[in-house]
Amino acid sequence: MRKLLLTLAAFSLMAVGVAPHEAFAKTIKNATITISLGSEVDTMDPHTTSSALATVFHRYTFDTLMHRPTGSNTMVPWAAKEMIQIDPKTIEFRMREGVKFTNGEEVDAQAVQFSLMRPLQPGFKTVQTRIFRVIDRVEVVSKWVVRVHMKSTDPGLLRRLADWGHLVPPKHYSTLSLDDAAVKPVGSGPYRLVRWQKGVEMVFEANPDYWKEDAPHVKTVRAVPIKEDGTKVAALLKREVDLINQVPAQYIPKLEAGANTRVEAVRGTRVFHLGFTHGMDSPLKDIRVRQAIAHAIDRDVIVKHVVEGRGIVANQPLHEWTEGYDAKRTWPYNYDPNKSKKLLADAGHPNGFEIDFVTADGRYTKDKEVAQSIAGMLQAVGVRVRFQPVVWKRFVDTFRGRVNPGAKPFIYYIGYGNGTGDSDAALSAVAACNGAWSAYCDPEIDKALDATASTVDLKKRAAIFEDITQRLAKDAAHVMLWQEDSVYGLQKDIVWKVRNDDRVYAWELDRR
Amino acid sequence: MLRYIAGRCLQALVVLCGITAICFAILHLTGDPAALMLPESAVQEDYDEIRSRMGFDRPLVEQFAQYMANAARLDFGTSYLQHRPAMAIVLDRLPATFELAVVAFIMALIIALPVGILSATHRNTPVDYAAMSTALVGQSMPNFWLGLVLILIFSLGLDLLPTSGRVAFGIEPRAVTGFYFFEGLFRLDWVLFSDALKHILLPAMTAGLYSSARLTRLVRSSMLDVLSEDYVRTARAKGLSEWVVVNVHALKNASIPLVTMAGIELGLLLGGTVVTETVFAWPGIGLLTIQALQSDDFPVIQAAVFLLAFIFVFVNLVVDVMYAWLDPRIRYA
Amino acid sequence: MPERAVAGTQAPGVAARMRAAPMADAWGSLLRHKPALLGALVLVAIAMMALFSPWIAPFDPAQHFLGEARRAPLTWLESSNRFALLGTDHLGRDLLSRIVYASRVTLIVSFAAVVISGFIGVVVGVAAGYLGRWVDVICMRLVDIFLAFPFELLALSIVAVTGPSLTVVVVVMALRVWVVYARVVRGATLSVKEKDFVQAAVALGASERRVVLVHVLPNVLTPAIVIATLYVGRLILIESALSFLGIGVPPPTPTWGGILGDGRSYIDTAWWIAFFPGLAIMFTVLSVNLLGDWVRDYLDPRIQT
Repeated sequence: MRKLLLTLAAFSLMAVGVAPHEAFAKTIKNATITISLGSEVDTMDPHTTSSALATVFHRYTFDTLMHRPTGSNTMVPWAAKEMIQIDPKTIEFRMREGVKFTNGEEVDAQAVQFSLMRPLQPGFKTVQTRIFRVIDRVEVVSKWVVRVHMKSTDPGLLRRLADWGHLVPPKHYSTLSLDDAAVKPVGSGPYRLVRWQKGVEMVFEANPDYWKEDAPHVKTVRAVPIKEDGTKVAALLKREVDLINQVPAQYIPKLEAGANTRVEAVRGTRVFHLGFTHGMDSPLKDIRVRQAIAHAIDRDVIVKHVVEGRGIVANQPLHEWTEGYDAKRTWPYNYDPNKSKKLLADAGHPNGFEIDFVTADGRYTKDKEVAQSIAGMLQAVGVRVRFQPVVWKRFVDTFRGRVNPGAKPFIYYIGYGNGTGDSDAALSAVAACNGAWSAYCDPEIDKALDATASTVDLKKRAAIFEDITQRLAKDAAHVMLWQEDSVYGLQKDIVWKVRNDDRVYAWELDRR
Repeated sequence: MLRYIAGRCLQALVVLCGITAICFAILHLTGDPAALMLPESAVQEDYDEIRSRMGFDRPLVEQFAQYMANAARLDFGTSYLQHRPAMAIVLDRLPATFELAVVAFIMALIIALPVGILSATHRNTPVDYAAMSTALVGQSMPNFWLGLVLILIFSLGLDLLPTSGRVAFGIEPRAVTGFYFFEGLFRLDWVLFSDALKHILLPAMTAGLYSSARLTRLVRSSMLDVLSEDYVRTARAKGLSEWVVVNVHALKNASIPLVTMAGIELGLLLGGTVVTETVFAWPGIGLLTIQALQSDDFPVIQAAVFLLAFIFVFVNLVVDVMYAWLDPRIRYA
Repeated sequence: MPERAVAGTQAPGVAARMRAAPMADAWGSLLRHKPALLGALVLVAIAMMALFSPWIAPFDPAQHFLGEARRAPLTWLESSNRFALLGTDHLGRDLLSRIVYASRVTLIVSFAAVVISGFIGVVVGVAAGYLGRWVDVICMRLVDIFLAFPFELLALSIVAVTGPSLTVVVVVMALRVWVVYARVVRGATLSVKEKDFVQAAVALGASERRVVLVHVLPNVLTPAIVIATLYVGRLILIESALSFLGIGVPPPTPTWGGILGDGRSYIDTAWWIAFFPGLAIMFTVLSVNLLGDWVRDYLDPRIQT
């Protein structure tokens, strides 16, 4: 009897010892997956930048409080175990006990407090202030419980915390220099950054202590920046990379026909529009000129021919799953070049006029081609644009530099990707007086946007947003253009559920 | 001889100073350097702080002196884009450009020497005409166009060679130095070497186009000059085989001007890879400079220009010294 | 750079023939030299193309037809009623028409650059050669500095300051080439200076200005012209490289290099956009080189580059 018990005990011990290892081995069996998302992230400090690419890579090494799962539109707690809305201005997060950062510090209430307040520190150089500024204070209730007190109601905060509420170890980051923070991230995310050769590759390795049971699946993820479309497609076909994004339409047939490759496309969240430097002295000040420009553009042809159907015409700055999206909205300016010319003549420009036209080159799918097509359409009605495709940095500098003395007025082509799903953030960015990507200013709209922060009734909020977009269209503040599909190229054996917000989360990747 | 070398060194130094001065002018002609360095969210205090920290508020002459002193230490400031020392970024990319130039040079020699000699020895025959016509056509076509045509045929059409880059994306280059091609060869690492070779072949042909054509014509004309000399007839009269006469005696005497011209070609190659790097996305200094130009990253532009000019001046200096040494008239002066 | 120019004196006999009946003699020589003749004919054709672009180009080079983008050569385009001999580019524009119009930029820029660089180079060369001493030293150091600057980087640096434009391209190209003129002209000036008739003129009390204008200049013009014809080809290639890189003549002006640069992104889906402009460049430069070789042989075979 004793012998039997001992044998059983021995076997069970062995089973206990072996089984988890095997399970662990099974989930992390694959050596490496290589992805290319276009350009390289500029910094791995999660609290300084606002680029969409950064929101992707920062999630590899850092965790955020909330998360929006693929295919769903509701937020779920992520680094936090539970999220409780105490009252409209207070949110409580209960953290997972025992979870640690890779340097040993614990992901507790204090860490949350430090992380959320870091971008708001006076003198801290960041563009994320607007994301967090509604936070009044962060209260450490107990070791694993923290409460966020807001200055006013802001239903969008939870969404923003999914993209921007990255948690960092307080002791380490309070003494870390900014230059080091940019290249040596320390977090509690599913991966650690083990190697970064600028311009060549970033190598992430799985964090064995990650809290989520079945993630990550792949032990090593390599991210290589490949800007050129032809090159990244060739790399995919040659099995040098496993996943690429922003695939232009002309390569889709090739990838679909490839023996090892496939294409996944989904309606994306990036909406492109033409903007004007409203505040400056230029022909654009006259609404008839802006309307003329709107009438000069054939958006259907752009969608049909330039992007070859990989997108739809957009009639408003918001996309389907955001508040205030009006499915029945029409665009008031049809394609009518003759009407354009007449409007221009009425406004005092019978022979047209000259103006700069700036666009990013290589930032979005087919940005230069679409913008160049638009330039041609404008030139056809007499708006003689000086077409300037520039790299992203210079585009940003030009846009921000419009307020400097001596700056010239311009038209610009830009796409706002509202992956967060927050209508307030999206409309503020492109239409508020001090919006990050707004050259427009209407105090009434700013008032309305502020009002949405304190409007708790969802229907009322949606109505306000709809109203705002109507007002923008009526004033021809922007020319709404098109909404792109997110098109990815993948190896056939890569398992991944495609997201519609341009985020590729490495811990969701797997190889069959 | 020593006097000659000293004189040339001094000359080289003067030239280098001139180039540095031009780099300085570029930085200050482009508008306010302080404004260029600031990120989007900067305010007036940041602007003032940078101005005083970088010394932009001091008189221009003082700034120039400081700049020259920094340049002597190879300190060109920090890249606006990458927040690392500009010269370090440029030096990172040097092996790629160096490999491309050297391999292009070797390929040019491999073509120029046999073809040039053949042309010279078979003067005015169809072989000669064919070779010289090809050289002329080679000098008449844009090398970046040739590169694209080569990609069209060998990469896209026949799928024999890659379209761009130095190594395949999927593998981590197993090189310790930055020189994939040479290290692969040296360490007999055939995986690395073959991958590097496949990637460098078309770019080297593209970069070396003009050099091949020029050197071929040069070899031919040098050989023609030498072959008509008396000592060649003497060698033939002595009964030496034609092969020995041509390839040993004649070539040796033709080599003095050849070596110097070849050296100059190498210098030109080192400084002229921008276009090839653009066509093949070759991660060298040329491509870096273009990208820095597009992003207004002036420290990197200056560092790149300085480094390449330095190399060019150095190569020219070496070539001149070599010429002086080879030419007995100067050597024994 | 040891460009072996033993210039300043013309090949024996040439001078005599030229003085007798310059044009007829040159014409006769050209007719005898078949490759150069071919080159000359091609250049004339290209010049015609540039001059009469609106009549030669079948369609508007600037009009977009987005629905007919990247069509192969020799296709008939239904909706716009066009026959695309060389195909269409990424915006549906007829490639042949664009190439025809682009010849204008090439010729204007090269011609302007040659003239300007020639002017600068001759002035500097004569000054250095004639005035000598410290003027000479400064000029030659300047030449060395320019030669040491890797050319493409020089171009990039200048464009970094000024931004791309037609004027900048011409200036940059002129800066590349003037040094060659300067060296050769300096050499020519030096040898002319020693000549008997010049010494005699000086002894007779002729002013410096007169000596330079009447005696030195005509004798250095010959090598200058030879240099010019030999370098036009290179200048065309340089201009196309600058446009290819995007720092040449800015759009919407079509240039061969610029069209090639556009075509690069489509090399795998529309190879003709990059192929045909390159062919145009090649034929033009080849013709210029053939003609240039003849000019050199005719005027002064001893100049080599």
